Amino acid sequence: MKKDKVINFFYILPIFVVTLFLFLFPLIYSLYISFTNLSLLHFFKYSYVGLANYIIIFKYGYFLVLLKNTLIWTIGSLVTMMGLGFALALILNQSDLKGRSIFYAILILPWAFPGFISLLIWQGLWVDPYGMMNRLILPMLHLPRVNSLTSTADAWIELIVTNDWLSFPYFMTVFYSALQSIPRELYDIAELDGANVFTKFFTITLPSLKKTIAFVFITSFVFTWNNFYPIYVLTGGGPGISTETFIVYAYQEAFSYSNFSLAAAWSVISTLFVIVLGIIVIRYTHILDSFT
Amino acid sequence: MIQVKKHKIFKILRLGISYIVLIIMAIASIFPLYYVFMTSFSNAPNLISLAISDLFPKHLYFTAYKELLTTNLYGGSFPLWLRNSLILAGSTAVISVLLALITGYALSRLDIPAKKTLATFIYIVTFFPYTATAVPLYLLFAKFHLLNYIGLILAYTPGTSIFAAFIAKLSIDSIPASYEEIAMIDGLSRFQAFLRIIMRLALPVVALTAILGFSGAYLDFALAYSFLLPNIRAWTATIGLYYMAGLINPASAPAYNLFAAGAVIMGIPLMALFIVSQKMMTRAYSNLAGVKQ
Repeated sequence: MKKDKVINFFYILPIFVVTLFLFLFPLIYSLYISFTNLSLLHFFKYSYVGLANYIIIFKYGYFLVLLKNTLIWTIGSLVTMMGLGFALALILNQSDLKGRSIFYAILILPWAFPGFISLLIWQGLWVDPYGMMNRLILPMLHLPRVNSLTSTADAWIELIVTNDWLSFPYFMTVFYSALQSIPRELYDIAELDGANVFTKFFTITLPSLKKTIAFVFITSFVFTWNNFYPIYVLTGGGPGISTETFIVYAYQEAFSYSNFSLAAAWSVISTLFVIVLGIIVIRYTHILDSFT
Repeated sequence: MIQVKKHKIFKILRLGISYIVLIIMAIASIFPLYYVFMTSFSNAPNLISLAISDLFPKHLYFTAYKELLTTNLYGGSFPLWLRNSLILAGSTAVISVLLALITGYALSRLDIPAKKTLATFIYIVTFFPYTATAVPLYLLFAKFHLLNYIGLILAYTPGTSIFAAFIAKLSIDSIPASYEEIAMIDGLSRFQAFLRIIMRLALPVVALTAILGFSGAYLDFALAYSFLLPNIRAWTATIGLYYMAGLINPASAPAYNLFAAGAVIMGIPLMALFIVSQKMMTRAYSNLAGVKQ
């Protein structure tokens, strides 16, 4: 029996080795690099510099700026995406609405089209002044032009609007299927009691969706916090570093500025955040209970 | 009477607003895709010369597609990059399937010490997108001379296979253990039974894992860019698109309609694949609900 257990362990070994090699080992290695001065200038002869990289990060205020940016990005995206997805789910859930499946099929297209390619398309749309957003769409709606190269507020608008476009179908789908699982009878009984639309919404719809909303909020918070491509492709963190988040900044320090040791220090910090968020997700959603 | 009338007005208002919102959102959803599709059939060499009338054209030009498939771009070519991407994504898919099913099988059937702890540890890794680990991976792989396709496949596999392993576990739970026991009595080893019975019965999961692994690798940019940038002939199609969109070096980028054509060629099949996998995912989860009862 004991021998069996050992043999069984071999089935799980491959993924375990791969996980260690690709996750723990790089993390430890970059922790080590973060205490050196490895960069393009010192690529082969780098030396130990102690906490110098971390001092740069914390002493000159970069950390707080990036924390603020990451929070604006995460909360700003999440609130608008969830609101939009929820509103559309409510609209689609009306039983007397015709053509639901056609609208649904069209509305999930932004989710179905590969996100990275969509972002490259949006990047071209937002270019000021030649992109179609500034030339066609915004003038048509009598809205002011958006220039993300000079204005931080404009850059955030551009990022969050694009992220909303990419992600609202996911939220719509999740909320729509949750709404459909609420028993019709609940509403019929409430109607007999003379409840109006708003009472029904606050006493039946919202309480039934509480769990779904919490689950979606937590998992999407982690996802958005770590979402790299929108910022990298659309603004590149600009103007200056005013839309940089932890994950984008670490990547750019390494691959745009070849500042590997500083990038390693940023990666260590951003990894710590991901681990904490990950543990919160597992704790709160009990997602692993059904798996083990 | 007034009450009924009020009710009716409210209903018309409610449905009216609903349709207006849905139509606006439908237009917004389609517009960027429509725009890139039309641009790919235009003759516009850059954003400045792309006219609004190009979005509602009288003629469709296929020049962008012809050029994209034949010309030399920056030392590489789009067909070459596409081929690289397909090789990379195909290999990732195959390895992910194997890894996911072996792990899923172990989690479902076998008695393993500290199973829950192991599963939790493995699961946390799925919270890390490649972009979070790009810098550490690059530093480590540079040391081991793995800044190439083998390194990329190694890096892509775990994310997909861990997620898929958990789905595979649930799906294997629903296959009666007696099937393999009978096969094992008939003289098959456990591993043979796994190959012949589990692999075949868990076919939907195999397909789903393959799709996830394929599209993950096919659409990755961050890691491929950091690993392969200096070697233009080894670029993947996503790096090619990024370059054609004018984001690496605007001066040397080819005509904008080539980018649009590339985006259409890469995007449309993946979109179809996404819709298929979406349906399979729903089925995988609803099977699960059936088993649980």
